Amino acid sequence: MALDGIAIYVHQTCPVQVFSQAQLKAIYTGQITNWKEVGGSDMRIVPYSRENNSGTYVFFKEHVLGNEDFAREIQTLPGTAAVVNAVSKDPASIGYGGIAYATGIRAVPVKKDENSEAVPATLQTVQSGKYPLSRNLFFYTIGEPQGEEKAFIDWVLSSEGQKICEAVGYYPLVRK
Amino acid sequence: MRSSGVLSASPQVTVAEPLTRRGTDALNDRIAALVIKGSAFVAILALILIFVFIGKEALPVLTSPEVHEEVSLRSLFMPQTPEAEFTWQPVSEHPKYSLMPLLAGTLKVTVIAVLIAIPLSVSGAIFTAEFASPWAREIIKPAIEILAGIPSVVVGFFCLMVVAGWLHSAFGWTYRLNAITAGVGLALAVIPIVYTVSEDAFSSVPQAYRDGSMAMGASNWQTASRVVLPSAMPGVLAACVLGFGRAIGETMIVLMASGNAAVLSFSATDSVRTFSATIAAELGEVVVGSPHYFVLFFVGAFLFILTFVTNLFGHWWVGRLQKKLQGAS
Repeated sequence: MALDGIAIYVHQTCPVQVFSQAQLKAIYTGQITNWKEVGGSDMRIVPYSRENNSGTYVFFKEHVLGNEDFAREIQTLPGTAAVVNAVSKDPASIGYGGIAYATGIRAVPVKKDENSEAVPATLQTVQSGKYPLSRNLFFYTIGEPQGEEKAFIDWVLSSEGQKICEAVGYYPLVRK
Repeated sequence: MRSSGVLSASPQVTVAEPLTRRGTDALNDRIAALVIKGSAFVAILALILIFVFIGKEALPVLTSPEVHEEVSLRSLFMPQTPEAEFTWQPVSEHPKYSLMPLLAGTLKVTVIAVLIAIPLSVSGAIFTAEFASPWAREIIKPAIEILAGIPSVVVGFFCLMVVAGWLHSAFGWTYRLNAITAGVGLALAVIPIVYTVSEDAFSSVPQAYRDGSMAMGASNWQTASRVVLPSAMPGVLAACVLGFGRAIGETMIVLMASGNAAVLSFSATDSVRTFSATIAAELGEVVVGSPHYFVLFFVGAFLFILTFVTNLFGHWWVGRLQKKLQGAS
């Protein structure tokens, strides 16, 4: 129904300009604990995550951690808004979440590996799939949608519905 | 029976009236007694039903061989694998369920909250009951009661946004959300309970005690600290037990303000994950009938037993203290 990019959030004052996926994995599995190891100042990294009931949590675990466990010290918060708020208040913190929520903080570009270029999460990079942490958002129905269900889904997929998806911060699907 | 006695004792009432009213009075009495008795049993019934439900859902942790492939009573409380001794990591290739970090977290936050709340609320209660002028009492009491009416989500949000920021900039801890931040928030929820109950205890100390003490030449402060406080002690203790129960079960405040990292440590500035927050965060999306689901109910049952035992112990202690007081007077 729409596209979403998982953005990596840091505090406004954080000097780090780019993360590689390997660095993110090392941070969230507890191998990297200091900002200077990823090009920041000498400060302990305070990583925030979502609760394990969240789809974003599972997406991050699968696509960034390669299904490894999060480190024990990772703090989990009950919503992306809470993560954004916590990150915006703490210069040593890092968090992740849907790009739609990124206000008051800075989203850092991500590169797939050491040699590839850094990609910021934008409409173009998410739609083209160039941004490594893009995902599709789905509706799940039991069987083929019919009647009201179908009408609703068709409406969401129509240009009017897609415009609303964009207005709330997600990205519209690519027209084929 | 008692009502007819009262009626015949009053001279204005004629004899005929109570005779005709006695029948309906007795019926009313019976109905009222039944309703009151019924409502008392509803609470007990609800308690039993809740316990049976939680117990039933938690039981597979002890009995089911399927669940035992992932978790056992041993792995819940004892060190697990050498590289992950006490780990709570339920969503994983190899789920790890250790209750120890959660137990440590719960106790840490609760103790911090109680340590902050009890001195504040008990001394506040002494002040309003013994020293405050009537107008001060009229302001303080309702204000604290309003505090009790603030939804805990709001308190939690306030802690997450404001209190955490204050404490973080004042002390410069590594983790902005930690046991102390959550403990301060929790104290806000505990204070009204401890305050209200212990204020009642102070007010119900007979005036004759104070008069006697004053007549012996004791000052206000001596009267409050050596006469009123000791005789109100059972009530104050009961207030503390209630406050402890509230703190250990409170969910939203700790969920929002503690950071929820399941770390087993004794440092109060580490992030903590409590039993109640774990249930609240994870039960919503857990697969019904999975080991994770049963473990969450086991956590609930464990929390239930923990508060039950605390209350029982508190009750016994209050009773003992009361007996001692009556013996002394």
